[in-house]
Amino acid sequence: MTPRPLLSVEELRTYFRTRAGVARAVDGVSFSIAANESVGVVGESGCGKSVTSLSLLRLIQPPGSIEPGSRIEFEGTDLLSLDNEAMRKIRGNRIAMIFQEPMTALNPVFTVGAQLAEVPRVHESISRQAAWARAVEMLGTVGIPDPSERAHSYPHQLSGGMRQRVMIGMALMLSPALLIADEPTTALDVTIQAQILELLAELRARTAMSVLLITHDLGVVAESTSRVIVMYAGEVVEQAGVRELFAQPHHPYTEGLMAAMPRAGTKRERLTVIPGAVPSPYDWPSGCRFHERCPYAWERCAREHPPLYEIGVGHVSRCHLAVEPERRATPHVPLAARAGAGA
Amino acid sequence: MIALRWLCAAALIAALCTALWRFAHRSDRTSRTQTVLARYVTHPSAMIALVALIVLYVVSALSPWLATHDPIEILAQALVNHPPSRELLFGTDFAGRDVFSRVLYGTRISLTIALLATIVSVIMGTAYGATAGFVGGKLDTVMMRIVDAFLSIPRIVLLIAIGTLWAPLSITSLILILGLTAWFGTSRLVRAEVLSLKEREMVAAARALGARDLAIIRRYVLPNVLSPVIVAATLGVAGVIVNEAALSYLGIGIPDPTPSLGNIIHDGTPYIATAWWVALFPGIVLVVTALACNLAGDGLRDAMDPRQVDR
Repeated sequence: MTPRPLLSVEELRTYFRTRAGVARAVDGVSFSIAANESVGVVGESGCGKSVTSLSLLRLIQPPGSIEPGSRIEFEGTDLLSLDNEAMRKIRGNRIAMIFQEPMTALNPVFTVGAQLAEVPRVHESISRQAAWARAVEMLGTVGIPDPSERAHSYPHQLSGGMRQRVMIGMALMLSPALLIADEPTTALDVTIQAQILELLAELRARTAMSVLLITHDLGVVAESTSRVIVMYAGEVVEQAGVRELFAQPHHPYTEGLMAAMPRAGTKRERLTVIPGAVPSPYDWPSGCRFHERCPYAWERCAREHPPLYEIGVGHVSRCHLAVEPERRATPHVPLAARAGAGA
Repeated sequence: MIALRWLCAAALIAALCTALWRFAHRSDRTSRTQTVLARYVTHPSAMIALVALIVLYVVSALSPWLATHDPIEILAQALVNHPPSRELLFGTDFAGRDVFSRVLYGTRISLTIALLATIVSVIMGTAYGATAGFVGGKLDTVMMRIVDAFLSIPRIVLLIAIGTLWAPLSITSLILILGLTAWFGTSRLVRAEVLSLKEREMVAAARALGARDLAIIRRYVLPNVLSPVIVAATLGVAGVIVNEAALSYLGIGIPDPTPSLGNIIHDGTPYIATAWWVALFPGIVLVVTALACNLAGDGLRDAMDPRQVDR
């Protein structure tokens, strides 16, 4: 028996019912995270990865809603059956989240120390002085030099990397069991990005928390996670250990993502792109949602929605190539590219 | 004796201005207030306006101490419509009262009413606009259509209607009706600001850390709408002063013999050709006050403009 995972998500569906129709932003996503594990979620913009993370915290605003039949179990509790107050107590306390833009995610009118100190005061009765002391300590933990001085700074007086450190500090104030990091390094430049990832890894090692890292950057995933979930069009299309995924990507979409990654040391040439665009969540394609952009697609792909096939140990892929592997030998120009050329 | 008191008042004004100047020019710009002030003092017309407002407030606050005569005392039958002289700086009105002292007291009452009415309107407008913007949906639509309805009635007509129905008005009720008819614009402004603020990532981040709605309003929404509200309030003071003067002028506002800028002008109007001083001096004070409020408001808006934040 494997131990009970920290978080398990089953058949998560988050739909947005708007006047234009129903947008099925997240459409049947299942995955789990073990204690102290670091899991990456990758995919293009609009594939549903941010909506997934907001769903975990039940922060989806109307017209969006989590559909009945979805299940989110965290530390043995069914999050979707909790009342609002109980859910609020989990946010920040047991599950915390950090966001992409550290400039807009911090309040410009308070010092960073005051913002950090506010977090424990929301959940515990703790004196102002004690909260401030913890805030200063946390600033030191997330690697801000001269924390007692810096606590008096306003967000606009800090650099982007410093602000992201403050955000991480706010999220970690109450030692959550799970940290959701939604594109935490996208707004930062590359050297700072590496420092922030390093900080996250170090904090994970020290506190035994789990990290769900959401990104569109496979490089980030390779550096800092042990398992990867690839999302496309509101679904999980592939899931594997990070080494396995990079060594043997199975799903043609994962393959496309990797080919599109710029590599150092290779001859300067045009980057490969996946033709076409992410389809609209109001109207996902029938059959395999990737078939219009896929270089291997055949009739079956347009007709039959592929299940998650088991490829190897802990490796699943939502692609019919799993049962007809010989099709991989004959790539062709994808439908989307042909249509694009004709227009 | 009176001259000495005026000298003291002047010293007080000078001290206040210097203190403000010093505070604005402190080298470490750590607080936001300081940054805003530092930008404000570089704005010449706004600085002149601010000094004018300080002078007006200090002088009117000290009016019982600085006045040369009792403002409602009828000096002597011979002293009716007496022109300005050394003894009676602004002359006397038709009843033989000292216009200088009446203007001092009148400014005090007009400024007090304007300030309190603006506070009423700012609280009302902010609460109303923040509720509509934060809750959104149908409530927002209904609340804003009500504001639209009130905004479509000219304010002075609304004031005359309420004032006439409510007559005679005490100072408290005057403050209330002036304040309660002045908040529509503020509520719209606050609502628009809240609508954009609540979509900011910081609100999502606060929610993700378990903050309650009230805490989000208190710590994220209200402090961030403060600057546009302060600017609107400063500009609003000018409007309220003028409206109060208009009401008093029409005989609906402050009842005689209590002086206010409006009813002193009212008293002087029939004699404008012969005793011009009665209406002229309060008129000048009224114009200067309104102008100073507007200029100070413009300066504040420029100083608080987030696009001008120097990093």
